[in-house]
Amino acid sequence: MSTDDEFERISSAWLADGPTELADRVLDAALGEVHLTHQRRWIASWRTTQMSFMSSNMGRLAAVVVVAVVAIGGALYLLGPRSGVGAPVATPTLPPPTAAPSPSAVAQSTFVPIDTTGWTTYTSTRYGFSIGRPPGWTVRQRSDHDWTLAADFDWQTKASEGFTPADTSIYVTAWSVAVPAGMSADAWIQAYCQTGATTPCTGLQALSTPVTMDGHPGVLIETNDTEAFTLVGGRMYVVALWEAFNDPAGAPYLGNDRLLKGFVSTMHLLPGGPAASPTPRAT
Amino acid sequence: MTSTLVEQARAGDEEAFASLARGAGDRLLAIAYRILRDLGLAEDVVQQTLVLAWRELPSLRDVDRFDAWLHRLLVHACYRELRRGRPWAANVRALPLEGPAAPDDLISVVDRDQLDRGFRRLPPEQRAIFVFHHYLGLTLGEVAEQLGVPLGTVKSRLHYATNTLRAALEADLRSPIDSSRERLA
Repeated sequence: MSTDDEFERISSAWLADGPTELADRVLDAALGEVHLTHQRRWIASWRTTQMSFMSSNMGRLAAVVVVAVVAIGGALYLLGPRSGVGAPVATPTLPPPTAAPSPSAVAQSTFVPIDTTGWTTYTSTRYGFSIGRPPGWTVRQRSDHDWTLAADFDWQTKASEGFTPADTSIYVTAWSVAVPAGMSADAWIQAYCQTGATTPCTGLQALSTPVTMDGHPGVLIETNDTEAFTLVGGRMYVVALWEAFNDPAGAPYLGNDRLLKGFVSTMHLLPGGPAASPTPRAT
Repeated sequence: MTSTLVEQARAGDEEAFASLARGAGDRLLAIAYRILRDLGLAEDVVQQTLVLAWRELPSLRDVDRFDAWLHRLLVHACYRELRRGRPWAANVRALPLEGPAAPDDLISVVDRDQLDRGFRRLPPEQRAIFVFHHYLGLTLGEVAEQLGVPLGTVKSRLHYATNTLRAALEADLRSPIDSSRERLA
């Protein structure tokens, strides 16, 4: 290699050689995947952006949902054990307007678990659990390998057991994965959150609420998505709903977190965990 | 026009995003292939990038920065792919028997082979900078801005990448006997 110019010429020619057109099948596959993928609405920092969020159409719709949750949840509460069927119904008294109450606080104060009677049980031997799904929902298995953090942190929906209603407006997935020895649940969740994110993944603890999965304690975290995590016997069991907790898609279920908790409540871990060791990803 | 499409796609318009994807697809593939040196992996990465872009688009604040943002998503997807440490067995290249054809008239088969080998020894970050500078023709400042790394880092990485590739090219000037000994060592 005698000169910079010669190196420039050779390297440029070498770089110029190669494909420059994306095959239609790749583009079609990507757009097909896009159709099944909901956009992240970044709400981890919703407290600082709620004014602009609430001024948007989505915000107004979400506000309607929150009000509906308060009204219906309040009514169900008042119709609870103290009221028999046909008993006079006291007019629900909505709380006085406050300055944008936390949706989590609203959900906690009026939370009525979803009725999972009639849900269909799906058993995942590869991930070692069974889980229910609402009537009319279907199972979607779209993976050629078992989920791993290394391979699927940005493809959470691909190697999981997936469930959707008929209109595919919501996508719930569940999977489990071995956690490295000595790694805590918090550390794994932090790594999971950060690895696929394009922005710093902070403040998870403030967004977490306790949840129980087949008698084991875990956390439900409401960020861009709504996900529940439980570490049992060296495996992390995850149930994820790929919508923000206040996305209107969950309105028929009175909230995405309520729906996800319904899924979690139906989950049972299989004795002995997964039936077989995770299969390596096809290459 | 692009800004309008980005705004529409950011608001959830799939058709607008499809238009953006069609406009960017060829460029993304060209970049990914040149970083990864494997067509199958490059196609996987482009697909991942487009889906990730759709998913994360609401977080893009400046619609005029869409292309740079998309490039950055692509490059990070390439990094991840390279760090998975997949074998390169599927990347065997068939050399032409009838002699070089365009653009091989500008570069010998031996030079190409040496550059291939040298390039695969480069860390992902050096590969990306080399491709952005020499293939896309971006200035070092533009590379720094697109990849979100300091200008000094870009200069340093490009320097090391260039040295590695020059050394790889110069290797073919050695005698065949020396090369054989090296392989046996």
